[in-house]
Amino acid sequence: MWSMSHGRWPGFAHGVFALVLTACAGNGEGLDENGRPIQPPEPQTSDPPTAQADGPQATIESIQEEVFTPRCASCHAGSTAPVGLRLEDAPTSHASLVGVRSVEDPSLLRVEAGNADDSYLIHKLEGTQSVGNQMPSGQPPLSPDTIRVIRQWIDDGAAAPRSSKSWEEAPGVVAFWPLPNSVLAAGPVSLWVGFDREIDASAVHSHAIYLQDLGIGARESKPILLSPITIGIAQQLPPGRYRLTLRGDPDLCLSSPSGVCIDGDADGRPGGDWRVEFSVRAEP
Amino acid sequence: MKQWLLLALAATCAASPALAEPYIAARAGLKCMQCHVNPSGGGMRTVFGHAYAQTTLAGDPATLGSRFWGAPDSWITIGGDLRARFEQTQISGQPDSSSFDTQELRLYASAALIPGRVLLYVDQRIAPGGGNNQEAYLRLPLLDGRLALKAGKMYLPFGLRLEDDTAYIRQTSGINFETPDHGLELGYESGPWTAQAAISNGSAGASDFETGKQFSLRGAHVRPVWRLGASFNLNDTGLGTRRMHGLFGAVKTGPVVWLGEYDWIEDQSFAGGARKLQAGLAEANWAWAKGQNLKITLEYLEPDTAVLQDEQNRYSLINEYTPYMFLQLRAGLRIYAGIPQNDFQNRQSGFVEVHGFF
Repeated sequence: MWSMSHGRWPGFAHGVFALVLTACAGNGEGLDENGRPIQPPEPQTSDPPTAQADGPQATIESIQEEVFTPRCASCHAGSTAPVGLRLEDAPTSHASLVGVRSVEDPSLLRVEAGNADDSYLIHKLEGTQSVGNQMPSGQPPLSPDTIRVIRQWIDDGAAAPRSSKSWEEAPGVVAFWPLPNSVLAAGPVSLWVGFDREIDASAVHSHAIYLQDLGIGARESKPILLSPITIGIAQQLPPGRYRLTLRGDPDLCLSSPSGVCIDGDADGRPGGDWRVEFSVRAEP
Repeated sequence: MKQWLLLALAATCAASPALAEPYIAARAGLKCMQCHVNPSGGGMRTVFGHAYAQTTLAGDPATLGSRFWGAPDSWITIGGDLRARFEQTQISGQPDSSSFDTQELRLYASAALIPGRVLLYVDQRIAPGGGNNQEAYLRLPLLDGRLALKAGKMYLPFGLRLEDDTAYIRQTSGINFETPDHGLELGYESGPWTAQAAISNGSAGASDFETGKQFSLRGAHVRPVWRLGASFNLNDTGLGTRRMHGLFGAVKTGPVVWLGEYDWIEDQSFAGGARKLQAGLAEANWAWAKGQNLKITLEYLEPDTAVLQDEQNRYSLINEYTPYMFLQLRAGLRIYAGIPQNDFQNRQSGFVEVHGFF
């Protein structure tokens, strides 16, 4: 058995330590606070820059810059992000958090827009989580002030970043039939909705699209889905008043192939139901 | 006498499947599977692992030994780990913070449903928070135990399975105790060789909606005073492909065990574009007295090889004292060194930890 004598190991140790110490920390030249190259400033828009206060602000961009990137993204990035929660940039964080069901506690959304108390992210940050460690793991907890800012962002509606990829990818309704409040002479056998971009066919199901009879009894019909944009109906609609709803809520939404929910309420961001009401005239 | 006891137990446990502190295996000149049920280390200990903790790890093995070696029944064995810690952290420009933290309480159980043929294994985290499952698999030894098939939820094989998930090599590889995966693993144990090959979802515990899968390979040649191994991981996801290559090893020089690992990662799954990362670890473990281990660790992280001057280092000085089996007391300092404009990358922390295990 080969073994180094006790008298020789310090020399070996010095060699290894010297070798490793040559791998020093970077001096950060040309980098921002998060170690990424400083980008040239974007062309000036009409709004003059506003002074940035210290610490994160209640926007996803600021939270990303001050919290997610420095504290979370060392683990929560790319394909190996634990439980699929990716926090490497603001659009990705927003898409990965808002309206997405928690893997650890499926009874909660990671972020429920407008409801910080019931957002699992807040539970994980405050240490009241039902499963696993308080986050950030292996680091000191976030300060109460920082968590308060994240709470505020959620309670304010968890808005997406201004240049969010998810904003750009959210399908919007651009054409449809019947028109709102129209009165049809005969019951249609299909309804038609056109989007400005592709819809994920696998997300089209009876929970995401439904037709409601607004008449007495308010029963729901069972639409047969022929394609993402043509909604076939099992039988010709009888006379009455109807409401067609396309779900934009994160739980059961129609979405783009990349999973971005439709912008149903046309507010420029994913989410919100799209509705149209119409009537079928009774035969004379 | 102790040596004879260890040899006898080694002989009786040789066919059983491995300690999440690789330096202990390297110091003993044994494979991980000698002390842990899992061939690549971590989780429930074998009878030999308990005996080793009592006779060799402990500072005072004679006065406070136990007859409990994890087997309340002939076919059921149990085990567990509890880590409770007090840690104080200093970050420039921020007030110091400190907290008590129950890091984990995990319970293990295995049932030899058909002894030598079918083993059912469960690793359940009880705290903090509510319970959640970490591992749950069936293990089927084949070819007289040289091969073993695992099916279920498991930790993936890659590199040194350190206890510390915040080590750069564990954090950057993304394969650690936070990211068990569902799949199959084929293990090979023969003489000085140990190897594992796994196919898994590659979704780090999240639901997998894709056809691409994660492939993990790990092999090592284990000798009494040295060991050398290599790891490879390919994760084909809809976000992009991630390839990891790793080399790891250990050498024993008198009372000091040296560990090293170097990982090279090509990751196309980052939102901002592809990156190449490197992470390294060099660790010295000095058994300066019976029951004592002084650990000095130097770590290196290159978060993006395309970006200059963004490297990070971490230096740790930790003493581990095992007064008797079932108990380890740890105290340490960690110094982080990163780019100067990021205070968090330049923090310091000190901790005291109680680790109970059985």
